[in-house]
Amino acid sequence: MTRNLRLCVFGALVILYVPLLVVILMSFNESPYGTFPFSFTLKWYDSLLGSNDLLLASWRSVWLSLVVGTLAAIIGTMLAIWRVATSSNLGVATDGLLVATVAVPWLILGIAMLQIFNLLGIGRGTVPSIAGNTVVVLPYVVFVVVARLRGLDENLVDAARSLGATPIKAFYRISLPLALPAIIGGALLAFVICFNNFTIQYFLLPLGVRTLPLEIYSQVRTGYSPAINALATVILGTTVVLAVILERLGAGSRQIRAKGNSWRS
Amino acid sequence: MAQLEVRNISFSFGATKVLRDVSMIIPDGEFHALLGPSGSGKTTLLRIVAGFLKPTAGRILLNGKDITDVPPERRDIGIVFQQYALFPHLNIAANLAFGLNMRKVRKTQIASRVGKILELMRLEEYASRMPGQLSGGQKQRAALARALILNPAILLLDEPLSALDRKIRSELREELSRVHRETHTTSLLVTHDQEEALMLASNVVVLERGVVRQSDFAERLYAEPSDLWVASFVGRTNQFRSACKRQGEQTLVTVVGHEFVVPRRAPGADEYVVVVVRPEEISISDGGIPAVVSGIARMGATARIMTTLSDGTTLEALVLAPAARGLECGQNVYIQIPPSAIRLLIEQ
Repeated sequence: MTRNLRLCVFGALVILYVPLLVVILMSFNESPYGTFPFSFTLKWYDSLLGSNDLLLASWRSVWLSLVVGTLAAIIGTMLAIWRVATSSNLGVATDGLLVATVAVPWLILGIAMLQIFNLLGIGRGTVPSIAGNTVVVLPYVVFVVVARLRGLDENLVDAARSLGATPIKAFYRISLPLALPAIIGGALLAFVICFNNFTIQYFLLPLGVRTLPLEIYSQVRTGYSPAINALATVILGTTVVLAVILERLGAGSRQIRAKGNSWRS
Repeated sequence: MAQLEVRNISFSFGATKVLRDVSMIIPDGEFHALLGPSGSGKTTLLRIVAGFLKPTAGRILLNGKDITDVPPERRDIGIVFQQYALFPHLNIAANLAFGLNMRKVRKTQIASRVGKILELMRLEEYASRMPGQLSGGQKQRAALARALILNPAILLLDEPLSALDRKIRSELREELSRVHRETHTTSLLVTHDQEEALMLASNVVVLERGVVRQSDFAERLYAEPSDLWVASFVGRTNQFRSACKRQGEQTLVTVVGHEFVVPRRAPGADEYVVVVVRPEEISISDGGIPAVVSGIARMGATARIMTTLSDGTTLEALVLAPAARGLECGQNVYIQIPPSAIRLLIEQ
């Protein structure tokens, strides 16, 4: 029984990871058509560096995701703090709206947002794209930060108040540092989701302005260069690094200040 | 100099009345306790005193000054919570320094005051540890130190020992007692544990469902409970109904045909009273009221002996182990009750 289960899990992992391994392997393979025998080369990485389209698209994606991740972290944290403090109907309604944003397919959201921006006379553009992507990733930040804030001992803020901290100081000295791992985690999650978000960007970015997902899509349509494999490998590496950071933040938040004995917080 | 006065405090949560017209005064330097079962509103009252809750009616006065509308950070009141509430992202020294930092005390002074309090609470070696690395007892000592370092006018203790295991609890109880002797900080302990209240506090206020049932010296609370509820809540009691005859300052009561002249006035005007006797006042002896042993619970140094009288009344006696030696269930014995140990209360 357990042996079968183990086999199933192993099989699932193989299905998940073998394509990734193939992509990595092919990025180092001489053949432009992904055929064997394998012979090692770095020329695809070289051609990646020479491909202005891919580099420009990558830069756009990083830039967009950074802006969206930061915005989502700030707005999401504020929403989360409000959400933990209130038990009003408006708060409950907000939960519903956030869940809806996750549940409604991005395709629908993308079309709907494009129509709204057209109606408003704004149309496609960088700002609509930032706004649209932020809305889509916001719930993830709020959920992560709310969970963290709810998990904190509520007496901590009371203790800080009794020791002379105003509500604002208690927030900056106690709640914020304790929620920070969750806020950073939420921001990273927002960054990654935005980086990947072909659908929303397809609808909202100005025509001809392509972020990485759009660029890869258009290249794959016309002809496929193994330079994309090289790029995928770079992105994969970056994602792994981000995932490790996320994991550390989750597990090690308590140890953040374990070292040193500064008497100032 | 710090006297705390709770004046006619009421608190409602929606339609639920949590506190009804509660008043108490803690004179400067005294240690009082607020004793009640869970749901009696004692923690609510503590949170009102601390400033975390606004009372529906009534005032809180500190040295005669109304502080009802003063926010917690300007009340000069220290609190120790049941679950310690140490800041988990700061080490112990930084936890202790938190209040001084908030008051913008100079760094060199902070260091010396932190050092001094670490020494007072015997926490020197833990200064650079994180709260998560400390045991429950150490955490609570640190929490106490964090409150005391500011020399607060009032120290509030919210079930400070309830999360600790038995041995550590009695150690820390000693510690609290010692700290109060040394600092004379006006203190209010909130607890559901009567032993804790009686051992630490000079005065105890008993709260039941938001109402003060009795407010008295700790010894008197046990010896002279004001009503049956307090008698049952504080310590164990034997209670039974008895006819009574009033004879001036004395009262004649009957226990299975045996008459007792109790040297006190019977309360109320009824023909019947409730006779209340603490188990440790009853002794097993060679003469007195005949009874049958119906159960024995030996607890090391002491033993609880259940006896049944001829009319079916059950009386519990608490005796030292030697007095219970050789006793068996079903054995015929005699029990004695000193008349002066009998309390008379009205039926409810």
